[in-house]
Amino acid sequence: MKPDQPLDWEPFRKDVADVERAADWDEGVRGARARFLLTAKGLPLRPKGTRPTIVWAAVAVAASIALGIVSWKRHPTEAPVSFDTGIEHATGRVGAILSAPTSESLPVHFSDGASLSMEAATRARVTETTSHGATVVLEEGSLSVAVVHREATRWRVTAGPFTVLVTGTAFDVRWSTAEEALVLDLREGSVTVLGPSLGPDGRRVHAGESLRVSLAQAQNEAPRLSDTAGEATTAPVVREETARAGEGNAVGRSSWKQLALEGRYADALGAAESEGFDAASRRASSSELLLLGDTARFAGSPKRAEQALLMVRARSAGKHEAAMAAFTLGRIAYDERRRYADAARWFQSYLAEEPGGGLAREAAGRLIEAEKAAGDIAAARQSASAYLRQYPAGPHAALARGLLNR
Amino acid sequence: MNIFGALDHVCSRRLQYNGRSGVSALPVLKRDTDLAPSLPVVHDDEALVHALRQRDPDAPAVLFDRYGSYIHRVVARIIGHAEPERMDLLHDVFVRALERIGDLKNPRALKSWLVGIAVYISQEWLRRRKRRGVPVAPEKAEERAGTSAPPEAVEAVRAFFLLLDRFNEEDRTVFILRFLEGMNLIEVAEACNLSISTARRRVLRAENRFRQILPGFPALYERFAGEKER
Repeated sequence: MKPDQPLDWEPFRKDVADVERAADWDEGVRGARARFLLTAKGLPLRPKGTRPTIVWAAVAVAASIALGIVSWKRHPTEAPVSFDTGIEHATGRVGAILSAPTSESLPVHFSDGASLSMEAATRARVTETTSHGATVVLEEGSLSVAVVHREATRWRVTAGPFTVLVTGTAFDVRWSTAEEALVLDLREGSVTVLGPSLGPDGRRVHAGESLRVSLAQAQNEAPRLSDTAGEATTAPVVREETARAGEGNAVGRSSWKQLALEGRYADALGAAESEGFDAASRRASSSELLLLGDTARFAGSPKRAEQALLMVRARSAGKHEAAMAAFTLGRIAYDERRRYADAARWFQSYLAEEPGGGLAREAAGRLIEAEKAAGDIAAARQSASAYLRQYPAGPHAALARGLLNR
Repeated sequence: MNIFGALDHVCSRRLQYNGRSGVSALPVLKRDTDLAPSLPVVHDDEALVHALRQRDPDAPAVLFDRYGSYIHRVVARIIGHAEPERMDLLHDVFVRALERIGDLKNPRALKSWLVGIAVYISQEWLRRRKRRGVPVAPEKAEERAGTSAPPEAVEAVRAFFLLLDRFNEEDRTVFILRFLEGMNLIEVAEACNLSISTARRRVLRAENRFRQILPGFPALYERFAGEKER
């Protein structure tokens, strides 16, 4: 590239557009829209063309300074809220998994006064903290949430494809990964729930109301909203709709899914292709994308499998599904593509994201294999040593010892 | 041709003949064709601004639906794709716009006025981030997220935002608006509340710096080097 030669930006602009398209920002933009519309309802409009006079400006400056001093004393910095967990108040870490024991609940306290009570066996993460609140991802189980209302409070609880926008309220929320169903019971205030079938503005839920919505239901009809007195009558909705999707009634999505669940992988992939693989992928939840990835892999299409799994990685960063996708991508890279360095990277990703996960031993073993196959013997020996410390009798122990005894 | 079209035309001609930056091709911002479809209730920006000033309850939704995606893109490009706070900033841009809609002198310039607010709020955020320090290294966030975009594109974009972290807020913003958004100098100047000559100076400075440090980012460099040099 010569110094005086104009830069051709077109290829890079296309790169940026590709990356932005793949990032799937729509849900976040919908969330910002819903919050904006909530804010807009109570927003005062500054009259057109009004300009404070110098006197009033001076008064305003003086008042601002005074208020600034007061608020600085109350909130000395714009530091994000912090949190601790359990009765011992262990310091919480953003992104780390919070797992309530199977026999008791786990309290989580936030510095802005908000609190969560995670019911027994619930898994969640605090994925983001700001000076105005936090984002909590409910992976499985039930949370009781109490958020103190303040100006500009911004709390979010997400579960699967659903997001609860909170400004100050108390509610219980349950999420079942298996049923892909969200149940929200509001005790105080109001919240807005965003997600499939809930419309561009989301669904407003008020105190005393209960919202039940599932992905299967979202495919077929609007979610049911009831007051708590009517809870018993609406309880079967989720089960009924889940069963309907399982029977293959839902258009498109469940057809390939049904075939995949029956083990007819080639037919399932054909069904996904016929409805448009990209469209089917976009409509699928993360767990369905994992199934679609496996389906494509078993049907002999590693390219499609990678496409579905990379979408899981993009959509569910930090979640269990993303780690599972990393593991399967490692298998594809090793078994199908013979790209051993890539495989090692994916197995490392799985181990970093779920060090205690159900596939950790297998991933640790396959990491040794991949590094060895890639010719990185030093790394393979290091991984072998780590493996033996953790799994001295594991299935890859012999391979590990062989490497270390070289 | 309206006044903005005429200004685009004049500015483009002048810079194509007299420009010194080596960037003679001056892409003009695509007009509203790539925006989210507008709702049937309000068909043009003047009517929308009038509705917003009259506190029409539907007007804020129309405003967001018309410009939300575009403003989000502008914010995301200025502060960086990997920053999760871009959604909060997007919200803040529209809240600020609603509060200040009375100050908008030319309702037809609604879009560029929104871009100006987005630029202001994004720069404020960049300054705050500088004071706080960058919490998460961008490469870590990208690596964790994964994407279905072509890997070379992902790498190039990741490198681009790493490179931009070496710019100050002002140069970073004019650079993004000029070269990534494809705005002409008048639009850049308007969005950043600068004179055209200051905007031109900053664009030149940013472009020179970009050229200097580009070779240190091979994934990005190869996107600009062209086939001949690969």
